[in-house]
Amino acid sequence: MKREGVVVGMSGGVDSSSAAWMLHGEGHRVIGVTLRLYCYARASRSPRPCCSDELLRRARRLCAKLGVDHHVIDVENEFRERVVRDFLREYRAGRTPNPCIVCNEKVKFPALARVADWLGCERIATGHYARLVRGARGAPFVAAALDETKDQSYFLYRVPVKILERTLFPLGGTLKESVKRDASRLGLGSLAGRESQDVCFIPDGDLGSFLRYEIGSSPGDVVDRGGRILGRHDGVHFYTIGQRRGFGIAAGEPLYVSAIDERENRVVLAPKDDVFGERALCGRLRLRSRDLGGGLMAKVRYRKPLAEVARTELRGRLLAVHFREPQWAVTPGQSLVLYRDGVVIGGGIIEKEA
Amino acid sequence: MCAKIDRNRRVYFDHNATTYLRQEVVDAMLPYFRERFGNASSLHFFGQENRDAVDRSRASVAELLSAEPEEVIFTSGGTESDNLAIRGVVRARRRLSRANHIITSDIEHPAVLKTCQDLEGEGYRVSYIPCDARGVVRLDLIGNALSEDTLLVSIMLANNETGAIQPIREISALTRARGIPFHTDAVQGAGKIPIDVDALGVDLLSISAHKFYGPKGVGALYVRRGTALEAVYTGGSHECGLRPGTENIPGIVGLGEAARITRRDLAREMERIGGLRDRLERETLARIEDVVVAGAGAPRVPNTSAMVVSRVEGEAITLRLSMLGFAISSGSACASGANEPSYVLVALGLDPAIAQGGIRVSLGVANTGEEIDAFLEAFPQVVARLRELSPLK
Repeated sequence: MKREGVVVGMSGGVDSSSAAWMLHGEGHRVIGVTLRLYCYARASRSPRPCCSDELLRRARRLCAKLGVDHHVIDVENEFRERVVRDFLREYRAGRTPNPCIVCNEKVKFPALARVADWLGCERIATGHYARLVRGARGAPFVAAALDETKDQSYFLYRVPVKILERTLFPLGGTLKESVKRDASRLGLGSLAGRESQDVCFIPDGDLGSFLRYEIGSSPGDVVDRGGRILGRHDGVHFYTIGQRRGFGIAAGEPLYVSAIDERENRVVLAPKDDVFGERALCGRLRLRSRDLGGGLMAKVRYRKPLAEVARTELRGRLLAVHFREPQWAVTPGQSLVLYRDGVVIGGGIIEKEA
Repeated sequence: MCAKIDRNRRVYFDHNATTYLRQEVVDAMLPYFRERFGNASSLHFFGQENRDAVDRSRASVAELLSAEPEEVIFTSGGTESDNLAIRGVVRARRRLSRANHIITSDIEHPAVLKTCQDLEGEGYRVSYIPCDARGVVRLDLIGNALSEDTLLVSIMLANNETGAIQPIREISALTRARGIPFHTDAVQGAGKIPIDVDALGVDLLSISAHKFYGPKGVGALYVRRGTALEAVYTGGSHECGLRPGTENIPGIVGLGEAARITRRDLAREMERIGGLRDRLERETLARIEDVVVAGAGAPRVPNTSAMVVSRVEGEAITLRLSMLGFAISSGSACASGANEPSYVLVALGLDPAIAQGGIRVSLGVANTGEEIDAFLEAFPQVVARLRELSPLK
């Protein structure tokens, strides 16, 4: 049986709307699907309305305009169990998680694939800026987008290969500027200030209040590398590596968070030079190639430039990545993604800097 | 093999969600949007002619329920009727006694369940009575739960998912003996089975027009004469002060007309629809393996069929049938194994994993035997295809 049709994940934002519009224009039978993920405003009974309802209406409007079906699929429980819970667990452990990566792996792409199966559709698509290339044996690999400033391949390294097999990224070969132009011509103008949120389930962007509401406070000491007490903190979950603000500690030179010791409930400060790391040790690996030799580049945080890799060594289930130049704020909980010639060949979650 | 996608096919099998308006209902309503736009509270003739229309509708609804017109209060629908009944009784009784106990069931509509949960937050004690494997609330447990502190019992007439009819007469025998007000949410009963408030022995009864070919946004609450009830919000003296706010005249007229047609056609229509439903179930069970009809052993309203299809998610069946032009509903609004299955099906004692495969087919007056035939052709193919893909083997 021939399976036709593309299930397009539509958040309601400009990018996914443009992706749906492009595929429709190319003659695909598009079916729009909006995943209902999570709403902090609702969960916390905050009087602030949630942004997601407005976005949902935009997705529905576009589908009506294109004359294609649109379904809303509720995945709130999965999202809460797999993404929000992991997010809070990581912060409690003094780490800085990246929930989008977990969501893509465990919720968003599997849900779209599942709905595509339900509807008998072969393919799924999203509005991510990334490309897909075929490896020597035909397997799909995520690669950086043509528009380097928008490249989102970093967020996709954990998406299961079986799902990549059937995925389309229509925006991967476009430039953000041209997408924006087409979008405004289509009346898909952006929602002011709401296009990119750091964390979609914290619509007001106030991470500190969210963590205070969910985790509370657990005060401890702020120390220097020698263990000398410099001040107090309100909970390790309020800090990330490389952070400088908010200590009110007078010192001879600027101090930054260089380590978070969850066991001792301590935040360690150090001068700038000591926040550069020469290595990262990664766990929860997703490796697509056995060849981890020369020519590798690594990205240790979204929106950071690629770093040259000097060498790697597999230690059981962990991978040590040595950088050619020391990297600023190598942060446990963030992902390290390995590229070769712009192609994602794997990655893992940073356990520690050493 | 795959059922053909027919872009023109639009078969509606979701009448428990809502219904279309009958032509007579639309015709009756139309003048009240235009030339008869008056406010029924006005003294002049624009108001007067509308007051008459409201009175006629009230009489029509009363007749549908075998009640007196002055026992019918118009509301905005089932949810408001349920809220007014439960909160209104609680408020009135609060002044009379210290009783603080409410009895309801596990399988109520959220309009009742959430209202009771809300009252729990205010300090009231609520007993949620479970049902048996047929989806019928356990009468013996209601008897056990009744106490001197009980100020209200609220049990639905017919369940929205399974169609199971609840033992209202038997419950009212218990409440009457103790003088406890008894409310029933009859939103899924009205238009599907005959309702006689005296035979049922209830003190309060909620209905909603859009479940029986009337308009959305209008409903009624029957309040037996002598039942202590207080308004839950304040305003003018409309509806004896129990439901302040300018009357929704077109809606009330539509409700009255829908009630009139229901009285006229109910017996004939439901015999025909019951025949279609029974054939649909019989043939489905013959054509698809591992399907059960939830609540099959209970007395049920004739249009409703809740089926549980193992190894498939109800939402998957619903979406795929929707592509093929059939509108049904999944027992719940959830997407996957990580999500909650229908609380009603779980209350019947079904394994939550199995209950994920719940769907509901609810028939209506315009459905035909040909539509049932087409569905019986498509449904087994859809299930077979989804089972091939299913991880739940």
